[in-house]
Amino acid sequence: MPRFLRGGRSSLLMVLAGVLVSASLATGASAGDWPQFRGPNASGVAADATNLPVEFSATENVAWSKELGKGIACPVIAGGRCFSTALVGDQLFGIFCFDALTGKELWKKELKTGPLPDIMPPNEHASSTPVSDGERVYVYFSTLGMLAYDAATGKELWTSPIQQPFYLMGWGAAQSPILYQDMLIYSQDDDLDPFLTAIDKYTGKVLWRTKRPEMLGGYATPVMCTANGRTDLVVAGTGKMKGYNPATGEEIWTCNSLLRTIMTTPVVVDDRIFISVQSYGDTARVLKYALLQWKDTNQDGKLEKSELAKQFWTKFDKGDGDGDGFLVDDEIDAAFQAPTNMVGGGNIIQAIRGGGTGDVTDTHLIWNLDNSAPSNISSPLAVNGQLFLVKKGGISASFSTEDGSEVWDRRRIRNLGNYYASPIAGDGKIYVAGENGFVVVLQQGDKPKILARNDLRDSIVATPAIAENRLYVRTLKHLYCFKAGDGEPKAAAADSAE
Amino acid sequence: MLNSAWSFLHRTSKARFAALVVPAFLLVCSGIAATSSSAADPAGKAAEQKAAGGQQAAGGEPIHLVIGTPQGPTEQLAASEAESLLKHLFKVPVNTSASVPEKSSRLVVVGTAAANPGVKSLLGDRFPEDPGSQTIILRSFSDSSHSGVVVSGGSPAAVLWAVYELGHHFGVRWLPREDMYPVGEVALKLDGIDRVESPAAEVRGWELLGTSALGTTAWSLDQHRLLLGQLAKLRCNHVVLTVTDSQPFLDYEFLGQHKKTTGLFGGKNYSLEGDSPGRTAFPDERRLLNPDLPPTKDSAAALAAGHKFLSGLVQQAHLLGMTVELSIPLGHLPQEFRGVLYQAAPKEHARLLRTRLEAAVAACPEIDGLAVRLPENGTARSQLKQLGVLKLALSEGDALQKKDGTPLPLTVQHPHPALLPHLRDNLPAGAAISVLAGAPSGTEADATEAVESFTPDGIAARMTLPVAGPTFGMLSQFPGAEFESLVVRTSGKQWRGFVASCWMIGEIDLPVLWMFRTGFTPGQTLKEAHEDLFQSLTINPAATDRLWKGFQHIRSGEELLAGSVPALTVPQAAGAATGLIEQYFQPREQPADWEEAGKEYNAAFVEMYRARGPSHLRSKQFLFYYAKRSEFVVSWLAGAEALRKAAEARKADDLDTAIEQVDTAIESFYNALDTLGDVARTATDRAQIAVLNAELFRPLMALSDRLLEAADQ
Repeated sequence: MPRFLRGGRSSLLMVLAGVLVSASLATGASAGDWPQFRGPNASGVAADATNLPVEFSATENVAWSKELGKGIACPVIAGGRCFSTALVGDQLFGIFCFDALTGKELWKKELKTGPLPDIMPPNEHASSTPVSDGERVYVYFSTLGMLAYDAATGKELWTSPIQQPFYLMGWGAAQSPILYQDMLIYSQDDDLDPFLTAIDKYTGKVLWRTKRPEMLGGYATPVMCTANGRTDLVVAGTGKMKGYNPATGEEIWTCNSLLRTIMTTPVVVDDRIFISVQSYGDTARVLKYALLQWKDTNQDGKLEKSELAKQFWTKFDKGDGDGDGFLVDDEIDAAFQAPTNMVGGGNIIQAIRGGGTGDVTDTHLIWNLDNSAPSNISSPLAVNGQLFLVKKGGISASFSTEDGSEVWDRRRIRNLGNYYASPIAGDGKIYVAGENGFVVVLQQGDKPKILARNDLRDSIVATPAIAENRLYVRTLKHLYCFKAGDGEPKAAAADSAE
Repeated sequence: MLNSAWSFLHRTSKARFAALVVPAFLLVCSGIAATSSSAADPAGKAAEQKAAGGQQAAGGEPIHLVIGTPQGPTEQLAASEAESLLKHLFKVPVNTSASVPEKSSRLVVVGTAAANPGVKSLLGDRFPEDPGSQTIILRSFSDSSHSGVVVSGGSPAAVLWAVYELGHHFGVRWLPREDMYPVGEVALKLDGIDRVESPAAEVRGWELLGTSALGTTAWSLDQHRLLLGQLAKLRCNHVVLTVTDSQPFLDYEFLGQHKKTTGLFGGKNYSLEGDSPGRTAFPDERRLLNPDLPPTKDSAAALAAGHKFLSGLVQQAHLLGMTVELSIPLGHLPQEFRGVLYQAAPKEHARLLRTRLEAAVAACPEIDGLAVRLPENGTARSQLKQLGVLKLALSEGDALQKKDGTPLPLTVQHPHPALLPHLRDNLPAGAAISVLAGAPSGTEADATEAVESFTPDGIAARMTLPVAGPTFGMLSQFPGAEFESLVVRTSGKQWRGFVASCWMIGEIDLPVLWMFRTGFTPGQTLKEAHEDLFQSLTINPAATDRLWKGFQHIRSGEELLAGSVPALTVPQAAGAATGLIEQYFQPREQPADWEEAGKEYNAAFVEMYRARGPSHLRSKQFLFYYAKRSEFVVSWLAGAEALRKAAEARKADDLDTAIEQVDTAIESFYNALDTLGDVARTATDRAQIAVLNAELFRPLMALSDRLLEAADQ
């Protein structure tokens, strides 16, 4: 067997039954739910899950499955309902609600999207993960804004327009909202007008809106961190991890240790925030070099308006100091990257302590690794004192959450290809979904012990979900609910329900 | 249902397809009825909506389409296509009638003179006296009661081409895979059109099917129909169906031995089970197959399906005004016959050949011609011997006939350049030839020189023109500089035209568009055609310029890799007895130009992405394919280099390094195929993925296992 497919060197298992991460979210959803992107507090950890499936496929151990249409948003489960989205027509957005156990369709909405913007594959238009408190479900779509529905009936409760995001590189929207107490919180780090906002979850009224002018395009989902008796709203973005007062949106602290492009979401364990980032290029590669490589279409070494989308022309004018109609060198910086935040690329894995005030870079950065393990998109998983990472090529690595020391470094998990979905954990297992349609199941422990490699034969970009002691996997076109087998593989029709 | 033909086929459910009001037979042959640029393209749709608004402002006066009484299905199709085109372009009602209305300022009169008297009555003596069968006529007219344009031709096929040319006139760019309609409002200006043209190249053909999984053997009949529809828009008038005896088409018995082999892909099974990189391009398939020619052990059933398939192709081609030739190899026999004629006299060989020729006609009685292929890599001497057998075979029995009882024309394909001066004495009487020109197999210079100095001397001669560089399209491709001069030459007096040949459809939209337009009306250079095409697609001159630079990088990369050892071609084209893995895993010096070639392809990759960014939304997916194909090459070369290093390390007994390099190779090849899978758009793309999995990736995994076992010992 090829070296990279051999997995762990030892078959010794270390089954850890310790207390899983406690994710303290006040969403209103029940324990055991998976109410938002990557579950409770975006942790990727289902603390109470048991008897999760190890082996499954598109036809084995399928509790139910549905063909939905294209989408990469993660399924969410709250109050016994499973919500998912898809693009169901050329300009038609679908929102689905199923009985989480049986797959029975409870309701479905179809909304005209209007003209859709260009996006960069593998992004899809149905990309933002809904969030639910069990009574309502909230869905964001780039051309429609934020939408709220009654979770039981699908009745529309309110809509709230949100300015469409724009990305210099044309990536497209993919941010996901979260719930905290009675607020729906949404961060939109784009290259035009990045902001963080809280919306009254009952009425759709904007409670506060905080600009994040130092940020470039990115996709970190906000997380909550309680430290020193205070719960902060934490958002990772260009160069900086910031803590905000969730009640007001006021910035409380900043840790200026990150890189240029942040597409991963941090995870919180107790009062620690962990993040792993791969941002293209070295530390000197600030945004202007990327713009000159990809956006300077005529390659004359300067940017002109016609080389950028119209939405960026106001920023262009801001940077065009001499008014000659071109952006050169520092003018590009001035237009698009905040002078106080001129960070470049690289690789980092960091642990930051929450609960600080002001600039905490020198005081709260607990450990910082310059290590090539991080993916640019797949977020880290913190479970049982270990930080688990996976990136392109199926290369995994694990570090101690305590001090960043290596548990294992660069070990293959027997599945090549790209990784966009983030790993999740439950029932002593780690599930890692590859873009090639294989879901690798690992045993939690100090070695990358591979339990199974399950083939769903469809691209997977969405992070799977765990709820009701089942595994929910959204492939590019389908939604599957898997449950542990009872000794007999269960066949499922292409579109089935229990 | 405004969508490109291919994405239409891929995206539209059968039920939705069936619900369409357009007659099904027109759908499959009519690109216009089924295609457009805008369904997957909101900006294009918005532009069209704007265009519609503009026309409403102009009054929305309907166009009167006068079609006379179409003579036969091709002319009926031309009328239908004209209606679809006008509706699609101008977004105004189209009133179709048989005769010219009393008064109209928006008249479009379509048909031959025989079918539609209006074309003559409205043009008067401006209608050509005796238009040739391939002559197209596009002429505006105006009098006190009528104004508009006549769209006519010397035959139903020519009328069909004239309709498509009207589309080109109004900005539509017909491509091998899809249609690109102009962005924004199209002015409904029917005056000032005055074109009567006959083609410079009498034959403008295309090879279909092939001898391996590449070509179009994996394409279903419906996919072929769509391709034929696109080729008709390019005014292609001839198709060559290239088959081998081992495929499920020819059925014969000789000396008591019945032909048994019916494998479509040379008997190979290209599995997609397990982790086959790029398999996301095959969401529902476990192996590569042509759904209309499913593998079966029942040879009678396979042959029946094969005959039905050929018949479907011929019917479609005929509907589109094309002639069809069936091509069989002169020398290649199925395995079960290889010992039958051991040390036999030429007469026996001739008898077998005669049997095979008759089987070819029986397989597809509707064909318009038969072609026999001389081996591309054969020597002049061996080809001469085979021509002798051919003459003998044809001298036995009655002349081969078409279905209507007339003699079946014969074409001899790929004669060796050295034979060209001696063909008069060695060809069967009346046989035409098709010379393989610009051959990317290492004989390019010889072939080109021979073509340039060739004087047909009474032999009807055409060129087989590969639309590919030296890698046969396995890597991203752009034909070399000699391609341009050869295309122009096919319009010269000594040549009757060309048949385009390619292994991979790939990124050859531009060369194909240009060669077919040049074959009809010479004058435009490839660069000018590039600017015309890509400016209309990208709506961005700088992006158009970057794309040209990208194509030039590809051309440079291909030239650097020409003659490379190992050959970076599709496995079947390499002409080597060994598989790809054996060729790549050799301890040799890095080929001198690989590093430079890699830089060229990387530069192409950057240029394609760079061009994609500012381009119009409708062209982004199109350009994404080009970018991804270049990205594939970069990873592929990295894999090949790692495998070479692995072989060197193995030879030096450095097993750890060998294993490490094989791991690198596995990842590189995986990424390469995965990248192709992201954008695979035709059955040929999918076939490439399947073939490279079978010919390289899986053997590479096995090699890795062997090295690891060696390390454990």
